[in-house]
Amino acid sequence: MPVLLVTSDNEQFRVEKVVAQRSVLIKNMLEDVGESDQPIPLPNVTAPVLKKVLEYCDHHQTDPLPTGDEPSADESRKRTTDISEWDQKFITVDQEMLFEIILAANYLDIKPLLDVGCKTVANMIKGKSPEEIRKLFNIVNDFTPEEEAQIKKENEWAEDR
Amino acid sequence: MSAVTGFTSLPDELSFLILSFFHHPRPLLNVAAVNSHLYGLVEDDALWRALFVLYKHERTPYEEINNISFKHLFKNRFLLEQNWDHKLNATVLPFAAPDWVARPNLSSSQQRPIQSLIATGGQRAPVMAVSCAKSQVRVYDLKTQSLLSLIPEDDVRALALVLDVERERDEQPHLVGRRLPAGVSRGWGNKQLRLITGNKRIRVWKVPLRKGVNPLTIEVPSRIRCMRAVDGTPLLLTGSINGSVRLWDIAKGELVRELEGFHDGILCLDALKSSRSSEDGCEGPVIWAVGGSSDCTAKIWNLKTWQMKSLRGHQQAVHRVFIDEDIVVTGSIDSTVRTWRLETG
Repeated sequence: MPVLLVTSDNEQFRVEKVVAQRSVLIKNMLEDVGESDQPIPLPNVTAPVLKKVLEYCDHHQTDPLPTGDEPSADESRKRTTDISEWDQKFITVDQEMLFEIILAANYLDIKPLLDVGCKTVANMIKGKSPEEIRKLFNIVNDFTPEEEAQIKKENEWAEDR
Repeated sequence: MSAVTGFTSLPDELSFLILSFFHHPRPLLNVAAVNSHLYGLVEDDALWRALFVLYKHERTPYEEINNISFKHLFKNRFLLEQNWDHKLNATVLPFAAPDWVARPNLSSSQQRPIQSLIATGGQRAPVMAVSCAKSQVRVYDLKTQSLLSLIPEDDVRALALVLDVERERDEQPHLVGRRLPAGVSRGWGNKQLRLITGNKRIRVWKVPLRKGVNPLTIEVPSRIRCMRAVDGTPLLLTGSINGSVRLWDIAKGELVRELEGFHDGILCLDALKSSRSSEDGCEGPVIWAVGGSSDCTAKIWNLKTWQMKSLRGHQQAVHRVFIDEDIVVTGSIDSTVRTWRLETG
């Protein structure tokens, strides 16, 4: 049975239940309302982002659902920064879309997608200097030159030698 | 102007999640140097704890690690291993974990620092004695990691162990000649392990304790801060907070002599039974005692001739002393360490 999702910009998406249920938020909503053809409003997600997110859910619809919030599972998922080939291709988007996907995955509670997004950002940061990171994300440096020198000294211990 | 969604528009919990995917301190510290907000995020110790756990070992760190940040802990270990790798090109050991965590003060809800402790290793019967402020002294068997005896003595400042003959005899040959930990002695042919506690009085306990057997008790004129058993003899040196050093015979339970010379509290003691005979005609090995004091001096006594030499030069209190054949080393609050030739002072 298909489910009707409505985005913040009032676009409707008709998707298979099994696809929509990749989102724990939607899954819980469906369980709460029971069998109903009421549209589900998603006021925090826009149509272009939801389209992208549903593409992910569709591809991963047969994956086993993550079980519970055991801390051990949580630890192990952070151990790897590998991203599968399909996911890598999927997440190759502009920066704004990348962060929109992360926010949407967080709101819709799709852990594996959230991880893919966060790992991608982590990989973008890796190997970059503080100045390069500022440039990459358009972040303003609010340190005084003295503070900057102090922090540089503080952090010397992790430098390559 | 509507804000474009970017890294800075993420809530902290998501920035935090991103940071948790770093498996090396370098990118984390680079993020910290970007701006003050990110600096604050990276200070969160949960990140460092995760890194600590992730790094080369599977075990979760101990809950005992109170009051020390994991960042600090991680940094120390990280540097240690890096240096190790770098200089020696050696195998890196996993982060060390204790064999055992003893909790001498488990019954009290109050946290009490360990005040004094002494231990001896070896194959047959390794033991450890521990005292916490305002609680009873405990003696542990380190082989079975269990409590051997609960000594009903509170608030002990100084501890010494006297090993029994049996214990040493079964040691492997290479251990017999070893230098014992400071404050431990092989005794004088006694058949039982003894623990000596020192505070307002000296008490000599035979361990394990037996009901009805009271410890030998020696009253002392002023509170003891440190003590040393002299290896191979029943002699015990005590240093008190008012500046007196006393030599006791704990087999007889009596004072042998008071060693005079200090003007302020004794902070540390060491003793050596020299393997050489003295040159001044006295028979048998010479025993040397050395003490450091708040009066900025250290003093050496020859316990055969009772001659004393004062070691002057430190600007502040001498709070560590060490003696071995021919040398005496003193360490002071003035942040200098001085070495002295034993025979000339």
